[in-house]
Amino acid sequence: MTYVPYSYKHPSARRYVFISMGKKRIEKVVDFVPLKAKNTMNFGFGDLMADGSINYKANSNNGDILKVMATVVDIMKHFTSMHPESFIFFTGSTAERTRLYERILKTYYTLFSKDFIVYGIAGPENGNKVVPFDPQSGIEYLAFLIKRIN
Amino acid sequence: MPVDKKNTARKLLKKRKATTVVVIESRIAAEDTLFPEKVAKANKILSHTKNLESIIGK
Repeated sequence: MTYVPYSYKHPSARRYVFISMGKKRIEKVVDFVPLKAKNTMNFGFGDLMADGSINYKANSNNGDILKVMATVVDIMKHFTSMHPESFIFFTGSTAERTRLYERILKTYYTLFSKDFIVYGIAGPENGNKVVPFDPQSGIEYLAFLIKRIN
Repeated sequence: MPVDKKNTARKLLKKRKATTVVVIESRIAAEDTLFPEKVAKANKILSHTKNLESIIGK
């Protein structure tokens, strides 16, 4: 990703905060939470609202999505450099959002795959399978798992 | 103003300043789970992932 990422703060071991400075000023939060599966962390991402709540369904339309994504990748690199054994799980809050993540992964796969092994989770929610992410395929993934290449 | 009144006024002002401390707390506590629904969704998806252990190990 050739976009210059925003600088971020790292207020706790699993949390990152940065400001999206597009049309508006939006505080973004990234939170890694351990899942039940071994060495697997959920990647949570959303907007910090004025009342202190988090909105992860917001479509901010702030005009800086690629800069925000570059920042997210930067944060993932930092977190996985601290926890190289971790698998990072992420999915969209909606099917549409998951498709957006998939399009971004496909577009930047060449760059992304230098640092991460990327898996997709495909199939029905109640009987799915982890498969290597294929940027050429038309598979609609349910979610993604990535792991840092050491 | 007489000196003792001035001193009393200063003391009161100092006391008032000392007691009107504004505590600015972080709006999000470190131990909170910010995305409980997403964590639940992730656990649900992965609980139905047939070959997960072969990827992440047991």
